[in-house]
Amino acid sequence: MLLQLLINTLIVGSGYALVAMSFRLMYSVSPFFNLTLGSVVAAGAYSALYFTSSLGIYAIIPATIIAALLSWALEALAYKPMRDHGASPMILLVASLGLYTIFESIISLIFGAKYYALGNFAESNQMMGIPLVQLLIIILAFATFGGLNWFLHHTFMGKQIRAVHDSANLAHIIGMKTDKIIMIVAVITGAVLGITGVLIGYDTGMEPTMGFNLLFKGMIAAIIGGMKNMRGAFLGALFLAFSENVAVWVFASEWRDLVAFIIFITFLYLRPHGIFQKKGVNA
Amino acid sequence: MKKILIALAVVAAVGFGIWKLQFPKVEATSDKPTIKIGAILPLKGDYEAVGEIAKETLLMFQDNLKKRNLKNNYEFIIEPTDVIDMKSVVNAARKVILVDNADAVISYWNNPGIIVSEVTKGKDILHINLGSDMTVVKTGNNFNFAPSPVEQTRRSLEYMSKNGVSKLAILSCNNQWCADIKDMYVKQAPNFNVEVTGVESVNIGTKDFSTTIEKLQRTSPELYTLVLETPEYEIARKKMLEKGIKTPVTTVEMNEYTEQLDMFEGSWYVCNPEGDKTFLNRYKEFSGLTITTNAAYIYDIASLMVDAFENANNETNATEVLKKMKTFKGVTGEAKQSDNFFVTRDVVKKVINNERVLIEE
Repeated sequence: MLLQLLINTLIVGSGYALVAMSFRLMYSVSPFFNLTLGSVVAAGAYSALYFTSSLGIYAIIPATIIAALLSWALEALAYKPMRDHGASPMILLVASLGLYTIFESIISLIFGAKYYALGNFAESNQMMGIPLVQLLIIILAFATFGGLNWFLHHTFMGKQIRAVHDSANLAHIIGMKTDKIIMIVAVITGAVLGITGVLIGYDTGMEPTMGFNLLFKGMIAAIIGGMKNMRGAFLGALFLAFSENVAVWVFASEWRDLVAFIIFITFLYLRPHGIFQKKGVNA
Repeated sequence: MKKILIALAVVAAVGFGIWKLQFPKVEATSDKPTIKIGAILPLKGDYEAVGEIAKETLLMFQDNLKKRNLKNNYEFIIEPTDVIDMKSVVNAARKVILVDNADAVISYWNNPGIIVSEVTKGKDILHINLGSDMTVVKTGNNFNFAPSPVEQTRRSLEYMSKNGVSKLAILSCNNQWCADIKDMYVKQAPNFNVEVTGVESVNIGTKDFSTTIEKLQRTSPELYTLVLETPEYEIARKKMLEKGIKTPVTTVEMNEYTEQLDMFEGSWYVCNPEGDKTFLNRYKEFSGLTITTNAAYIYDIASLMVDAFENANNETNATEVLKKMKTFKGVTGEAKQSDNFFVTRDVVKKVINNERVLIEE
């Protein structure tokens, strides 16, 4: 049974991890709780839904591009001007809530509030006993984790991102184009979230609120793991998924969220900097 | 400022025009008193198709009324809502009752019924809900009209017993209707020598069913009953198929609402009757729709309301007329009233064959 729990954890946790890592990456250069990242997930899924009749599985390409562009546009047209006018993280959070609501309403207007599934739910290709789409989510999560770690530590751009994360003001003073760096991060984040949205759309379907629900879990995972650390976001997501699955197994299915949130609050209380993060250390 | 006002006026005019086109009011034509009946229907969201059936049924009912010599005129005000979004139901109920001044209200399913019963509290407005929640009928002017969960699960267990099923696992969700059905299964199963091997309830919005299904699978049931709503119903079934679970599944009503019948191929379930043949032929001819989910129930609710208002007089209002009505013979069969709850006893068994629903018994 433990093996089965671990497999279930890996499947669910990988989805959370993708969102948690994207959230953490974006937060590192633009430190506020950006709720429109949820809109970007939904934009990816619904774009795939729109293109899937003509492009089939290749709908993932335009969906990813649209999600990346949306993420960039939000940053360039909404948050940057607000930051330039001295908006605080609280103002940006409220603005992102407003923008999230606008995007959710637009999706509802175009596609309706009903539930859609990408692909045929009755047909599920499997590999090693795991549905292909879930396997892809796991692979994407590990690839994103490895790829982002490598990118942040071994490329010039990655080092610039880390510098902005450490001190945006200092980075700006020494001549780094911080706005450009934030835009690049927004595009990377948008692309990852877009693909995630498409894969989730294939796995469990989509509805206009899908992004918020996922982002919520992703944020919790990132906080549990440690906001200053990509590894923390990844492991935090797996930890959250494991807790949820253990709660279902030991208690009952309806205890799932209750147990997960008790753990979350406990961590905030006892270890606010996260499980995998030492106080004040960035990585 | 002037431009903004003009733009707002144009938007309001266009919105009103669209609304009028979508939901035409069927106006009274003579000087007889007009009874306004508001219908709060799920015309948005996951259950839009079901709401469309109800809307067509009411328009057909309105059309049928023209042939009858009645003492009142009847005007139906159809308000679209999303049954998942309770805010939209509250707004629709307030609009129909407080703005349109409806004399009576029809609501669809339990939660909207509870909301409407709260809004009608203290007002002389007749309300009939297509649902079975007892909270709705707490106050005098509210009625339920539905098959009882007791009867639905009794018939379901009867079929299980007949087919030699002795071990049942229940996967349900945390809403009132699902909880009622689940409880009735658990309570009545011993009467049919069916052992409930496992019961799991998930929260609304659950997407990950892996461990829940694993847990139920380990109880070795011979049949699963899925008492869930869309989309949890489809996601749970998908996860069962992905796990390679070959054990058959059944449900109460839910296959009437899913758009993914292919996942439930070969399974049987119990649900509400479709109505008599005359009704069905007229409905299909009028609406052009082939799916009939709950059309007969909406028709009977509208008939009940009209009967109540037609038989009301200065001494007895419509609510009192209904309270005194112990039985009602409609297109769904005979319904018996007890404590403001009209219960229909007919339950049909259906099977899914080649992605089509067939009535078996």
